[in-house]
Amino acid sequence: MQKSGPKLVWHSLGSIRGTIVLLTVIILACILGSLIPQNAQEAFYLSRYGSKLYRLLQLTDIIDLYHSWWFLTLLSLLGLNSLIHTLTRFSLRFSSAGPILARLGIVIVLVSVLISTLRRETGFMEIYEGEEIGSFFTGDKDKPLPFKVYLEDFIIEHYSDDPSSAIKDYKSKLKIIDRGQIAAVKTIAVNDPLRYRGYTFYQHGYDDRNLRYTVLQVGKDPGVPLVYVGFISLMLGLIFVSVVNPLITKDKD
Amino acid sequence: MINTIINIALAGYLISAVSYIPHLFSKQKTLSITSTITMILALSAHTVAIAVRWHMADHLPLTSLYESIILFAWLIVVTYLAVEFLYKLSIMRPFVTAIVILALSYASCLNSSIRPLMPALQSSWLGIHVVASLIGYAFFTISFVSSVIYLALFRGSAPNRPSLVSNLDALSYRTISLGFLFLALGIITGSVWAERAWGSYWSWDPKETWALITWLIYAIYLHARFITGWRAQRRAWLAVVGFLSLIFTYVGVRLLPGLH
Repeated sequence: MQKSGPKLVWHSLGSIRGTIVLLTVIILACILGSLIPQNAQEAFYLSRYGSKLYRLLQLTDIIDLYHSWWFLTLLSLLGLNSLIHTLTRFSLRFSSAGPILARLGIVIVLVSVLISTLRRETGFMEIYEGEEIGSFFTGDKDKPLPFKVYLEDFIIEHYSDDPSSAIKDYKSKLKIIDRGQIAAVKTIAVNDPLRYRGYTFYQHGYDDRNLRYTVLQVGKDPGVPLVYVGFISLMLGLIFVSVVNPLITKDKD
Repeated sequence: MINTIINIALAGYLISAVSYIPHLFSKQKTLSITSTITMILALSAHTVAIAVRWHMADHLPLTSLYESIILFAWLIVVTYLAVEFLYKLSIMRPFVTAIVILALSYASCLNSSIRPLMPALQSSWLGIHVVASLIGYAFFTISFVSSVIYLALFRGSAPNRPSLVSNLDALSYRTISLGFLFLALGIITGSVWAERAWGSYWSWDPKETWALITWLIYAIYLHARFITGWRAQRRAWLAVVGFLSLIFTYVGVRLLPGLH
């Protein structure tokens, strides 16, 4: 089929060749990012790479590669390529369901990663038993929360009765107080955070010398619900591509 | 005790590989049967070792590199036996067994002590994350062997045994497409777990980054099939590169700082 003009441009933007070129460049960028330590102190880079090379790494954002505008542009182009590929070659045959779901999954995951990179807030909260706190700190700044967190109890569990034995788990019993009302109660543990109004509270740290105190990690990431949708779509798509489709074509042989 | 059982399995795999080699050049049925029987016996010992370890540790035996490599080797054998049964490609047996022997020998040099589980590892995501990733790795290992044999048979312009060569190519594609699915599951469950335990579903830690790099290399492989200009040989080389990246993800990344 002959194509011309804008239609051809549109078609090649969504081409498999385009996918392969973008994947190759993204792979090379990831290798670079894993070999050059990210977001370290200036002194570290100066002693390791010298001032000239450090300037270059700084100008090209290679020291914060995964959040740089050019890396995010590459991810966006991959998402665009995937989306255009799906739209221009759309078909309602059953065997197309897998590739369509998988590619849409990738597009959704990439959009979530962009949202998270640009909009994610994360920080910490130090809290004593019996205390009620309405803010958390990120770097050196204090950020207000639209509600308050109350620590009722901090619990540390060991593998045996001996308090010097390895730690099995540590937990905090938290209450959320919103507009004067107790809005949520939960005992959080290392793998089990509390979520409330877009904020998530993770059990983070403790102090051996003061067991009535704990550190919570606080996060607000508007990309999280969407990334889960993308994960499900991607997995369903891959199950169709790698398992269901081969089984069906085998039956026809 | 476990080391003894693993050594018995190792010896079994070794006998199985060696007794198969003459079979590569002739059609002597008896040797091939010896090889099959020792392989199954070795696999049984290997299974017992994992079960004993599980029982002793009181948690899934997946929390150290030692435990993970032993399961990885076990999965390679199981996957390979299924592939051999379905594709009748027993030519791969000595090569796959050699990788299993290397993996188990490497494991026996590692620290095999059982340590109590740190809090972050006490998650129901641990099992599915590690097992899915290792099943993916096992499929990729099979695809590596079939691709290397493919490339070896393809020296010169025309293949020596056309039907064998096209079978190997088909097998590489099937195993990579399954490995791709399982590695995706491994990465995704790791991501969900990280979000629950550390508050971020992706933090570009070196292990994450390299697992992604490996997955993307295989993504190129799977897409390359739809490009007319790409010959199958080039894809076979890509499968080899993917496997090297996988090995770096599995054991090499430890040299870089990170969570795993």
